[in-house]
Formats: sequence, structure tokens, C-alpha cells
Amino acid sequence: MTNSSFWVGVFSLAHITLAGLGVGFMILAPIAEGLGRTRPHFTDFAYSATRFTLVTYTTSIVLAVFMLELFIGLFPLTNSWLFNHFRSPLHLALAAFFIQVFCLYPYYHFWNRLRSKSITGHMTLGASAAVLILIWGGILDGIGSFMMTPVEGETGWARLWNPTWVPLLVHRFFGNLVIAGYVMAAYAGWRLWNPSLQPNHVEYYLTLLKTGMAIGIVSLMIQPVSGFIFAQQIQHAQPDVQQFLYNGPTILLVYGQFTLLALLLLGSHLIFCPGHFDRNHSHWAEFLYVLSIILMVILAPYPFYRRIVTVIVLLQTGWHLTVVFPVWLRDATPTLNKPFTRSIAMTLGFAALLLYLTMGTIREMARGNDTINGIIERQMESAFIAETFP
Amino acid sequence: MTLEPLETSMTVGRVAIAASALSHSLFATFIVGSSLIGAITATCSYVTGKEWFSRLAKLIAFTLVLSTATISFLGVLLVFFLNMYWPQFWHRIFHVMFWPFIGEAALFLGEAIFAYAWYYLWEWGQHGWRQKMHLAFIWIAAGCALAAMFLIDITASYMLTPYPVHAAWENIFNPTMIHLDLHRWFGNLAWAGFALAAICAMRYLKADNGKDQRFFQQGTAFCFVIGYGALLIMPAVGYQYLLHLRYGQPQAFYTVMLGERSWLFDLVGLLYGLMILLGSLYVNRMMQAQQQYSSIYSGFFPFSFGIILLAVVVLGMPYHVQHVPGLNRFLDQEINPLGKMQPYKYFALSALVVFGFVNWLYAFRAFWKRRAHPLPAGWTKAHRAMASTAITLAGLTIIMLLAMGWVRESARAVNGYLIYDVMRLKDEDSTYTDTGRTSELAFPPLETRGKAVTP
Repeated sequence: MTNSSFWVGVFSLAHITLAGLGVGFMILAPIAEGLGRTRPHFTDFAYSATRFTLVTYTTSIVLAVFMLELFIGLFPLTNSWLFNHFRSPLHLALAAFFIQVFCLYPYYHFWNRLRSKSITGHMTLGASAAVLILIWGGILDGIGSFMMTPVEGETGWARLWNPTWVPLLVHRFFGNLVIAGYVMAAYAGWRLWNPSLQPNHVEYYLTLLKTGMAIGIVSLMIQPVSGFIFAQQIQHAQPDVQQFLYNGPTILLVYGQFTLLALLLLGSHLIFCPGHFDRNHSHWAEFLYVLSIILMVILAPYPFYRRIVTVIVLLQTGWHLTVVFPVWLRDATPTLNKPFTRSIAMTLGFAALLLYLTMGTIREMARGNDTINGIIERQMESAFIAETFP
Repeated sequence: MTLEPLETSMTVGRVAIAASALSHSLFATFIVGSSLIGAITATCSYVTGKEWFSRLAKLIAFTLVLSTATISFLGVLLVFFLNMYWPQFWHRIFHVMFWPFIGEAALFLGEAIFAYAWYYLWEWGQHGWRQKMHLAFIWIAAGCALAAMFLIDITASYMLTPYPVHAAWENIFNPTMIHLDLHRWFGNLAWAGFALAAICAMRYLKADNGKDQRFFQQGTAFCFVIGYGALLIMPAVGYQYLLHLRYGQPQAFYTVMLGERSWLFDLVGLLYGLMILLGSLYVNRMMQAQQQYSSIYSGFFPFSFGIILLAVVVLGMPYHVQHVPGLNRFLDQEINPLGKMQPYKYFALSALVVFGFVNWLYAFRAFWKRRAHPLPAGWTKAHRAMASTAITLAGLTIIMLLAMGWVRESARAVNGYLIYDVMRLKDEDSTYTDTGRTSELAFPPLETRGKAVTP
């Protein structure tokens, strides 16, 4: 069964890497298009982000089908149970997905034609695709959260309303924005390495880098709060999960998660530095910030203390941002186009993806020996396969 | 661990799965055929350097990308419906065919990646060494699509002729596997050829300048020649397929050829004949439009048209009249001797193939010697008629594909099987209603040729 979980996990992670980015970009594209009315660079970004979504779209879906097929073959009981008990929500999910395909493809492939008729109409099309993909993902998240915190319910809808569904939705939503923001900045950083870029292109990629960083860090600051609510709900519904996470081999993943979070905060801070060092900020404050972040990682297995430190880190980050963002909005900030900044931006994109995947892995491993907490055990799956197909 | 009965009629599940499977197969077959035609067109473009080949290849690439996206959704839909409506069947078939299913998904992934790379890196691949690499993308995509079809044909043929049940290699190369695969090779080429011709024809009808009109005419003719050629090979391959079905699963063979669903096969015959007939009309228009109407062809066309028309009537006639829905209410006659397969329908099929082939030769010649200069005014009406014929042909192909899919599924379902001799429709009863028997996921014992085998 461990091997089975491994292979399902591999394809699941490959799928959510693309799917998470795709959803993030689908949310950002119509917003960027709206901003593009006054700042054309954002329209270019909206187009590029949608292009990325489309290019990776089928690959992402096929990876999902791959994962599902492995799930059917290797976890037949869990698979049947879930599809059987969530059939009504799944019908809605399929309908939403179906309509979404018909919004997304014209949004990209008839970009100029539709925009020439109505930019608002075109944005509405993109926004509809984003809302519909969130409905699709939301229902699948409902099933995922049920596997962790199942509830008694007569219908699929009732089971969907389990304690961790809404917290997971919020956590996932901002998680998608974190990776979309940092990957956007990483892409801009990578493109800025090109020495033969024309000045207007340099300006475009600098805007992209700043916007990506801003989206990434703001969403990242929301994540500890939404994550706290998510963890509280899990603790309330399944008290043994936290114990399992902090006392087993999964502790390494927890450390990994906070190390990556620390890396994102520190890396972002290094990019922001030129924005506020110019304004004579205290080196002691910098030292305290780094110390707080290190403490947050060290205290990872002790939730109470770690949360106190995390609040301090968030307050410090927020304070830095109040200085940095006005500068970024006001000035052209050509100083960002340095090898150091570009390298950091690219590293952060990679780290954000890793963090996203690590958190997904932790959530799946938290169920321990159960595929659906308290309903189906892995051993039942093994026994079923062995009995039915020796 | 129990499953909740769906508390609905099994017909709901059958309709949901049939609708999703048929629409899925429509796009899947199009992808296989169009990726191959795309590869051929791109190679022609690379070798000859002609601009219209390149433009046609890009058009095919665009349709390929859109259909790949659509099919990925339809694939999800089908898998979800199978999980919800036929879980017993789905888990059984998945366990028997685990690796073919996984292989098929992996190859479809390959097809999607390379087809997307082909389209989205079009500008990138237009110069120097990149041209070869760009060409390789579509050939790899086509290879992946064909290999994926091979793997899915293993499952599709196994469901009809699973003999013997437990041996892996024998299941893979079951009696109808190779023939089904070959049948689909040419079927997909015919469908994709006609569909692409129809797309070009529709664009032709909308084109507002001479350059575009000429390009879309050429595109329609090129794709038509491929589709029509592949269509002519279908009876020979189909005959072999049916022959192996006859020996591999006589009951299923009887059902579709002489039994309850024989009218569906007559419908397929009728559609095939109509396609050859319409194809010959298209060729005639082609000859007129290209001003290559020789005296030999002037004599040949009316004769050929008459023979083909007669063959269509014979091929579409039912033998067991009472099996045709509705007709048995008006006729007391049970047998129509003229609808007999041997010799009448064999003659009709032979006539269709032979005359269709001569027509194809004329079409090929007309396409090869097509005129580059603008055609005289007054031909627009003929060209519009050609375009309409091409669109109608694609419409008929869709009906034909759906009818053939229905024939194959009927061959099992009418006799109560989901997998022939292995799993019955009634094994899914507990999924729908609380039979009191069991509501757990439970596989019935494997059976082979009526003899129960404990797994």
C-alpha cells in the first residue's frame, strides 16, 4: 500500500503543481485585464498568464486522470465509496467544469476579436472561467477535506459541509495566489537575465516582478492565519491528527514546511531591502526579523509558541511592506534589475512551489493508516485487492 | 463499508455512459486521425516548402489543440460517470486492464504535450534546425496517439471477445484486437479527413477574398482525398473484423448480423453507401471545377453514379424485416430475400469499393493537376456545392461513427453482458436499487464460456 500511495502521490503532486498555478493565473488574468485599461503591461500579463494556463491545461487534466486511474486500480474501495457518496456534488462539479472549458478557450483564442467588441464582456468571460474552476476545485476540496474530517450525513451535500471544508477552501485559494505570485516574479526574474531586452520589455518584466512579489507576499501573510483556522478545525474534529504529525516521521515535513515559509519571507525581505534601507531603517530591526523567522522554524513542532512567534513575524513583515509598497508604486525601481534580485526571485518561485507541494503531502499523510479517516483503512484495500485478484 | 444504491433506473446510467463514451470516442478518433494527417501535411510543407501546406498544417494544429482540450474534459466526464454509474464493471475492467489503461493515459499525455508544443511553438519552429524539431513534435504526437489507440483497443476488443479470461497476453491479443485496431486506423483517417475537409469548406464559405477561397478549396480537396481513400479500405478490414467476431463470439455476431440489432448494421451499410455516393458527387464537382472533364469521365460518371446508387439501396436493405423498429407494424413479411448478405450485399459492397476507387483516382488526379490560377467567374456556385457536399459528408461520418459504436456496444448489451461471458448488466443491479443481496463493491465470480471459475 505504501508503494501505491507513493505513485498516486507522485501524479497528484505533478497535477496540483500545474493545476494550482493554472487556477491562480485564471483568478489573476481578468483582474490584470481590468488594470490593463490604464496600464497596458497588465493586459500583456493577462494574455501571457492565460496562455500559460491553456498550454498546461490538458497536461494538468491528463495528470489528474492518471492519478484517478491509479486511485481506481490501487484503492478501489476508497474510490468507489467517494464517488458513490458524493455523486450529487460531483454532477455539479462536472457541469461547472464543462461550462468553464467553454469560457476559458474563447477567452484566450478570441482575445482580440472579443476585446474589440467589449473589454468588460471579455473580462466577464475570464472571470466566469475563474469562478467555475473554483466551484470545480471547491467540490473536490470538499471531498478531500471529508477524507480527513468525515461527518455523518444523509446526502453528498451534507458530507461536503464537514468542519475543514471552508478553511481548506480559503487556505487553498490563497495558496494558489502565493504560487502564482512568486512564479510570476520568478518568470520575470528569468526573463530579465536577457541582456538584449528592449527598454519597454525591461519595464514590463520589472512591473511583473514587483506585482508578482506583491501578490505572493500579501497572500503568504494570510496563509498562517487561514492555516491556523484550518489546523484548529482539524484539531477539534480529529484530535489525534496533530499528535500523529508532530510525533511521527512526518515531523520532517513539518520542519520542511516552515523552513520553506522562512525562505520565502527572508527572500522576499531581501528583495524589499533596497526599498526601505534607503529610508534609514534600523539594522536591529532587521536582526530581530531574521531571529523571529529562525525561531518560527525551530519552534515548528510546538504550535503554541510557534504561533506567537509567527504573529510577531507577520507584524514585522506588514510593517516592512507599509514602507516598501508606496515606494514601489511611486518609483520605477530600476534597481530591482540586478543579478542578485533576479536570482532570489527565481529561487522564491521554486520555493513557493515546493511549499505548496509539501503542504499537500502533509495533508495526505495526516490520515495515517486510513484512506478515509475512521471509514476505510489501507489494510482493507490491500485485503480487498488480494482476495479479489490474487 | 457499504455503497448507497443510486435509487434510479439503470437506463439513466446507461444513457449517461453511452453519451459520454460516444462523444469521447468521437473526439478521440478525430485526434488520432488528425494528428496523422497533420504530420503528413507538415512533412509535405517541409519537403515542398509550399505555403499553403504550412497554412493547412497550422489549421490542423489548431483543431488538434482544441479537440485535445475537449477530449481531456470528456475523458474526465467518462471516468466520473463510470465510477458513479457502473462501479462494479469499472473496477473489474480496470483490474484486468490496469496496464493498458495506465499506458493509454501516459501516451495521451505525450500526445497532448507534443501537439501543444507543435501549435504553441509554431513561430519558434519556422527557421533553421528548429524546423526539423518542430516537425518531430507532430510525428511524436501522432505516434503517441496511435499507440494510445492501440492500448485502448485492447480493452475495447477484450470486452467483446475476452478469451481466455485469465491469460494476460491472450487477453491483450484477443481474437478481434488487431482487426479492431486496423479498422480504427482507417476509420479515424476517414473521419478526420472528412471533418477537416468540412472545416476547410466552412471556412471557404465564409472567406471574403480570392486567396483565402483558393486555400480553403485546396484544403478541402486535400483532406477529402485522404478521407475518401481511407473510407474505401474500411469494408476489407471490417470484413476481417466480423469474421473473427463470428468465430470468437458467435452470439454477438448473430445479434448484429441477423438478430435483434441487425437493423443497426443495415443503417451502417446505408450510411457507408451514401458516403461513397456523396463522395463520387464531390469528385464530379472537383472535375468540373478543375475543368478536367474528359470524355472518358463524361461517360464514366453517370454509369458509376447509377451503379453506386443501386448498391446503396441493396446495402441498406434489411434481411430480417421484423427486426427493424416500426417496420414490423406495417409489414407481415419477415424476410426480405434481396437484403441477403450473400450474394447481394457482397456484390453491392464490391461495387461501392470498385467504383469508389475509380472515383478516388479521378479525385487524386484532379487534385494533383489542380490549377493555380483563379477560376473563371460562374464557378462559385459549383464550389459552394462542393463545400456543402464536404460538410454533409462529415455529418454523415459522425452519424456513422456513432452508429458503429452503438452496434459494437449492442452486440454485448442486448445479450445482457457488460464484458462478454465475464460480467453481466444485472451484476450492476445492486448499484441502482437495494436488492437486499449486497450493496458492497463485490465482483461476481469470473466465468468463462458458461463455466464458473473461482478467482
